[in-house]
Amino acid sequence: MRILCVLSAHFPWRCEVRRNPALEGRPGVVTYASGSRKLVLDWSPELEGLQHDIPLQQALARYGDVELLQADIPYYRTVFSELLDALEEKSPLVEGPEPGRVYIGVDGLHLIYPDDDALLKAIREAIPEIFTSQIGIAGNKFLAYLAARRSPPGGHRILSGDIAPFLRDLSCDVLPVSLKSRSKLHDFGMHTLGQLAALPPGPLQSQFGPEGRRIWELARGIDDTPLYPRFMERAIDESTTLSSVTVSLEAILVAMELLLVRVFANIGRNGMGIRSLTLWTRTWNAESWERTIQFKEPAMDMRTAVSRVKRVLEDYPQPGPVEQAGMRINRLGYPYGRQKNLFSELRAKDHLIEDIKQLELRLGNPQVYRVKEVEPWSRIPERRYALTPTGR
Amino acid sequence: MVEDTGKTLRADTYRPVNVPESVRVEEDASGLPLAVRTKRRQVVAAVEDRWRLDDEWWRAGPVARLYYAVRLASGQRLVLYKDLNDSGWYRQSY
Repeated sequence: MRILCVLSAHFPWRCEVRRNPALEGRPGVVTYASGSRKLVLDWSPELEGLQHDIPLQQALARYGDVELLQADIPYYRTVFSELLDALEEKSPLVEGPEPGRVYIGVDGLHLIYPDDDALLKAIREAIPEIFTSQIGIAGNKFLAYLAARRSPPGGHRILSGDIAPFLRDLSCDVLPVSLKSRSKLHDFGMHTLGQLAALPPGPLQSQFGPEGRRIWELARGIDDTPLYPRFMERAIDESTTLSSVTVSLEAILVAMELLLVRVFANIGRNGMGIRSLTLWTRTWNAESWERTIQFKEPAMDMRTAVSRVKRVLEDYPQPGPVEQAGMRINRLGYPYGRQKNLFSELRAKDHLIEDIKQLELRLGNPQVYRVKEVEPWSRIPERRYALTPTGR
Repeated sequence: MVEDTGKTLRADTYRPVNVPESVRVEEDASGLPLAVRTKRRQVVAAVEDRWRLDDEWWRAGPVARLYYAVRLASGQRLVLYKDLNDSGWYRQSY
């Protein structure tokens, strides 16, 4: 499989510049709140040496005179979703694991774009110019990602043939494995992919378990992670601006209830309910709050949905006085079928047992079985359950 | 799940559930499944997981299996295992 990876560095910052072009060329930091702490989400490219999720104070100690912006995650998601929509016009297989990173399946596209240059041109046309992107093409997701990372800003890199020389000197820090494993690799003196690739898989497996095997494979450029294209759903977005800025939970809940009424009207009477929804609010000072609710069983009516929404609003306080509220329905679903228990009534059970016995007398051998746990803890699947004749 | 009635299981009447089903599998040089033949030949697109099961080593017929969770080219997912005693391939839900 041939994968194309598009990386757009500083995506949140670029979104802010797109919304407010006056920010172009000015140093700035996008922050978000985690509890009472302010952390760094992104920054303008010229501020070198900053890292994601470091405290804002630390960033300010290094760069004092910068523009501070509150992260608007729903806006970044919307922009990213628009970008994926545009790329889907070039290939139906588009995966966006995180804002600013896209994987595209390009197998078969040579029938439309005769060579890589034509393909790259088409992909670049779909990406707004403001999102300076690096593009990589290779045989799997990991290699395509590395190729994109190692390409110049606005450029591309295509990996084919022997990839060992390309991987040899890359740092272990590029591996998409846990931070703990990466740090442990350095402790063992393993700093480059070339060092890892030279080892047999056994020692890595014994030190890191199943992740060890993955580390070894990645170091040799092997990655069989499939592409997960976007799951296309009928998107329902509803939002409202509150009549006045408020901190009252009741007022926010009333607004959410109104939105739910609209959502259920939108879903219509097709027997579907809400499987997943995202609530969001925006405060008067542009801070955003977002929570996603997954329903174990689809919420088919207002009462079920409102009770969960209320609980989430109570459990996760707003960052400030709310000005705007909205919800996005991520997934709809049909209700699960419920099977009635045959054995719930004692009398019915007696009748049933009698009928089963009659059946066995007429036909011989047990005719009706029930599932019984035998060794549910067993590692051998066929030892776990057995069918036993009913009524014996 | 039915409640345990406390009755002893009679070996002659119980039937196992999830018994492995023999399948024809084409392997590559390293023993990984390349294609599965059920009703028709289906190519293995990816091996998504693999694990080894060794159990009942104290019995006459110990269990030694190499399980593979595979995704076929059609998108279907299967769990296969290679029995290390008879080298046969089987299909089984895990």
